[in-house]
Amino acid sequence: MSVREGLLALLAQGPRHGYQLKGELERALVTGRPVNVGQVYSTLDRLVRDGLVTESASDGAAEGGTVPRAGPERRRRFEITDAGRAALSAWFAATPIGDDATGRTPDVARVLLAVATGTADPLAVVRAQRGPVVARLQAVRQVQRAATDLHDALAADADAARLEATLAWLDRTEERLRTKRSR
Amino acid sequence: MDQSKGTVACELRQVSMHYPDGDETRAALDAVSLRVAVGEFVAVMGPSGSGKSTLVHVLAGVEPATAGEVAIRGEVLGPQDRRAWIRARRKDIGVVYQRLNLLPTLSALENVALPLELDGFNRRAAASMAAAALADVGLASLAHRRPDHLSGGQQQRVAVARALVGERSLLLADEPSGALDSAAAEDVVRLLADRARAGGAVLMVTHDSRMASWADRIVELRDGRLTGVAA
Repeated sequence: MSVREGLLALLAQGPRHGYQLKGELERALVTGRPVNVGQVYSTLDRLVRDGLVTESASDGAAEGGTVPRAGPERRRRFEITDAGRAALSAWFAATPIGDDATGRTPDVARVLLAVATGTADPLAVVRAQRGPVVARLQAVRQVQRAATDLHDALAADADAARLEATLAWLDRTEERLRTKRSR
Repeated sequence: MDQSKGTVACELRQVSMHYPDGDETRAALDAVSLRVAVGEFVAVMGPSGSGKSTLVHVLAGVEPATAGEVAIRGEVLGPQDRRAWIRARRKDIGVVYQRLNLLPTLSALENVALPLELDGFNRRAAASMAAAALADVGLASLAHRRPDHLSGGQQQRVAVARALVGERSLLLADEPSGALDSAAAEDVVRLLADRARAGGAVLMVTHDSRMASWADRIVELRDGRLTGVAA
């Protein structure tokens, strides 16, 4: 569910403590289920290892929020690097198709993170995502039209329905972003 | 229909369309160039207000462009060529308007048959062809109803049948699925795709990328300008 990029997008807004990131990530990605705190820290460790994030010690009191009373993670503070920002920009610009662990297509996570963190232009993200989805759907349309038996037609319909749902959401999102409507 | 695939069915060359807007002028179309080949189904996508309907009106010759050229089957038709445009709309161009433009006092069958009769078909032949076109859009049993006794979606299908009838070589459709549920919309857009496959040329404007995905080629219109290929 894009934990890595979610963390980068949140850190692109400013430095965070590890304990802040779990809740903010759940709100940004609207996953509907808790993000595993162990996954947050293991992902942060990998981001530090890869040079996309730096870690510094801090007591966290001045940053606000509830500081854990004890535990090894209480002083860990993270900051995005230039390489991290570049990796995040590249991710926003990428247009893969497929499902992630939430069952959502990756473009949904991109748009939600862009809106939640302001680290990319949501309208540009929506438009960039739409092209490959439409192209995939055009290919499925060819299969739908060529299908000569019910089995093939139903399989193609299923692919089309999933892509149509993504497109309906992207179209609706663009309309909302253009008019800045929340409903 | 022209069977020579690859030849140009219609073309816009640097077409602009300006409207007065208070003290200023607004460009509904701004130097738009677009070709639709015979056998091709092109979708023009864009949000409302992007100039999509104006594009259809200019290609159908019902609104003259302020600048640029419009060519139908290789023949440049200007604003002064009123008779040529009327002839083209009778013989070559079928149009599904967003507002449908069905005649309220005529039945569905008579609405579909009318352009054929204007084109010189006798009443019996026109009615027979109209009945077949209505059957293609799933309205055979409602052919004798007047528009006010049809649902919005059924009226939309009558408009599509009227544009499809008579094997006209160029089909222009302005949001042809607007009032239809998703299954009916798919039926209609498949008819458009089939027409292109059968050697017609189809240009559909739509805000809906699910509909556009049935096209061979998708271009995007934003604020009166073609901004490139959407997919």
